[in-house]
Amino acid sequence: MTKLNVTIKRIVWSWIAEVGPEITWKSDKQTNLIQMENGYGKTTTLELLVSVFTGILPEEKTLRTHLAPKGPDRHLHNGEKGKFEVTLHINGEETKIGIDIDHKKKQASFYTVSVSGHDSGWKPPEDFQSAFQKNEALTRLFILNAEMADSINADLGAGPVKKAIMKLGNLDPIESLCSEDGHLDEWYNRKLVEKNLTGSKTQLVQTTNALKNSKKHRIAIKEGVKNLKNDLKGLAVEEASLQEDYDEILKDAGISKEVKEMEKELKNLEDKVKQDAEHMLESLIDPRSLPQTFWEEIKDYYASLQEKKIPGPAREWFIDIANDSECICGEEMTDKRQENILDGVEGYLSDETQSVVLSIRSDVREATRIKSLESDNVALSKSAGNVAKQKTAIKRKIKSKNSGIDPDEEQRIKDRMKEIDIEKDNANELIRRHEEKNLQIIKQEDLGADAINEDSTYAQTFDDIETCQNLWVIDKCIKELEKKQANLADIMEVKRSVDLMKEIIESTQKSVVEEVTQHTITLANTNISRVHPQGGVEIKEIGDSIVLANPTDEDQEGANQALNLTITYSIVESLLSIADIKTPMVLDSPSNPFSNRTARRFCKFLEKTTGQMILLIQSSEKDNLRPLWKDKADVSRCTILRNDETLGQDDDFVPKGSMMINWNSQFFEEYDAGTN
Amino acid sequence: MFRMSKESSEYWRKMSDNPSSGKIDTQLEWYWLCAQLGLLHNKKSKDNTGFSDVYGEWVASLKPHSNIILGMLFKRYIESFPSTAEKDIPQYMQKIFTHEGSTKLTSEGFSLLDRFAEGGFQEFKKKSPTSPTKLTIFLEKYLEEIRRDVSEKKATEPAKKK
Repeated sequence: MTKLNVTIKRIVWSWIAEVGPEITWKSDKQTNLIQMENGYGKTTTLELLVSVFTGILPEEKTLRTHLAPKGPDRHLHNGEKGKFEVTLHINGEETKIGIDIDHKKKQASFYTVSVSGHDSGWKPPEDFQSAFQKNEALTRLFILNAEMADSINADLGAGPVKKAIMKLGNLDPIESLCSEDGHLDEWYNRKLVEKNLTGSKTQLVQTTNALKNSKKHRIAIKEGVKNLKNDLKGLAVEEASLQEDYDEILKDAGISKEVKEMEKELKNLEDKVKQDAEHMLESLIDPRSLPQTFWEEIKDYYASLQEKKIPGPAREWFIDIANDSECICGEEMTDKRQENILDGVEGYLSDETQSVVLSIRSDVREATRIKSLESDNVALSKSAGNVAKQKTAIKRKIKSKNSGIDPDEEQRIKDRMKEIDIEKDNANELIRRHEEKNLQIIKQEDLGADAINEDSTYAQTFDDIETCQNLWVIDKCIKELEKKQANLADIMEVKRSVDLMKEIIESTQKSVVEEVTQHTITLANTNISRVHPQGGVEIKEIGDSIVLANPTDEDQEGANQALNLTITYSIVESLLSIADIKTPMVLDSPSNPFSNRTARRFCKFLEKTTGQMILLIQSSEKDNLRPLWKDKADVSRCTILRNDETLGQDDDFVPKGSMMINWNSQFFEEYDAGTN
Repeated sequence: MFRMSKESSEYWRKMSDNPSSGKIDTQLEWYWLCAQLGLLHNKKSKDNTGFSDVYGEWVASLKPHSNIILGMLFKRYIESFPSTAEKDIPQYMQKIFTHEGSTKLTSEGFSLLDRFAEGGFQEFKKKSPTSPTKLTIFLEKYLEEIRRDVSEKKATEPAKKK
């Protein structure tokens, strides 16, 4: 039993283009010819059939330019509804799919009538939906504007055939899973955004490089610190050695003990000066050490603010009053009163700022000036003076001994010891800056440089990390980079899995499509051989378009078009037959330019087709297609004509059930000329 | 964010080159010492364009004095307007103070203190054009600068009648 068997049983038009009041075509025959002259609505009918099969409504422009009523009483019906309804037999069950058109609003909508009743929307049975829904490419292969067959064939390459196979084989969900930007890509991209890892591949390369370089940078700094510490050891050894030399010189001069004691005293004095200076600095930083007069001015100012009750109540206090039902005067709170209160609140501080200001006012008022630094300064000057005096005394003492000390050697030792002190200080300071671990100090002294961002996060690019010489900060940056690299590596692993999954699915899908395509070609060639039994024309492959072997060299009028039509339909019939689907074939002006010989050959092909066939023909085609209907009982013929036309005198073509559209030819001649 | 001119930063760095005699530990302490002089002598630079970031919070040694510093700053700020109605004072306070952030300063407040720091630095530089090599020398000159205020004021006050 066929999986899906579709035939068209009835078509109803009303108030569409040239059609006025409702006309109905119906048939149970396999072959059907509907004769309509140019401009009566063949193409319109074809397009509306495509809509019915695919569930795609006509566009607003089509509604406006092609489907709006055109007859003499069109003005009366512009606001009326038009209708196009098709009765389909789908696997033996009747389903009507209609399109209601509101010409005034330029809107169209589907309705469906099935055994379960009338329903709005496009709701044919599921098998029908899965084969044709939104599948315009496939539908246009069997509801076909015949004059377009060559261009359809040009486009009918592997793409549309693959699409048709995927659709007919219900493989769409698999394709949407692994296609570019499909569900798998979508899922993966969502994960990237969630983890803030977009552009992950580039980021991974950059992060890995930054990490590698940062680690090198850290090793270099550690090496530098190690060298500095070694330098310090060397300096200590050198210092000890110089001290020994100096002691030796002094000993030789017999003044060692005395000078040593003096130098010890000098060291104590220097330490005291340093200590006193730092203490005084601490006092100077305190603003309460500023001169009394200045200090009094400040205190007086804040006392006056307090007396004047500045800054006054906070803004919220007024807002609370304004929002109360009763005014503080005891009367009811009116809108006017509320407005008056709220008008002035901007001039007052918010609760929070008021609390800041009150705290400042209170601290200034309560602060007590610390004692004058004059005496500290005098003491400090005295200590510094003592240091200078002591230095001079030592020099004098050594000189007075006139002990034969080599002054150059003594100077060399002293200079070098001074240099060593500076070198030690510098080295210690550098080591401290490299090894500082207190974040507050690091920030105060800007030891992190560009490796600490303004929002206190750690830099992730080597350009920024390189500016930093502090090991603790560099470690932090490296940890952040390692974390990021791990995240990126995880996501890249996921990406590799996704790609592998896509590769497997695509490869399976490709082999299925190739197999079905080959099968389609074989079946289509069988169909073509019926029309060209000796010609040897056959489809070689379906690549970017159809590739033929031994194409016809016939130059008869219409021969190529007939071949094109044959090829197109052969392919679609084969595809549908593989998918176990039967649909009607609807052709618009199929044999218009054919010569008699070509048309006869084409008729032979059409006779061999097994499904329902509806041909929308012009009167000039009926002779060409004579083999199709002449003396055939199972053929339905119908003419749609205007009410001032007659059916003609051809006894061989007496259409049954012909319908009249209620306009006359003269009206449309004038309509087309723009005078109507 | 407290900001300082490059010249002032360099001056401080050079002064810290000889740490054996003691030094001003943090740049923000140097910033405040300059600002203190600026506030005392009411000297401020025209603007703080081109200044570099120093630090965004009070350092530990200055934190206990922050309210007094803000109080001095506001007094100088309000004095800069020829006349100020009492009712408008809260609005001026809002321009300088905020409850947001640990410094309690608005960006206008930061900018104003930066300008006093630069004004104070330029005053000190007149006294000592090059960075003092020892902390003791700096302290002596700084104290002289503070005393200058008192002595200048004394000099301009009329002599008391005996």
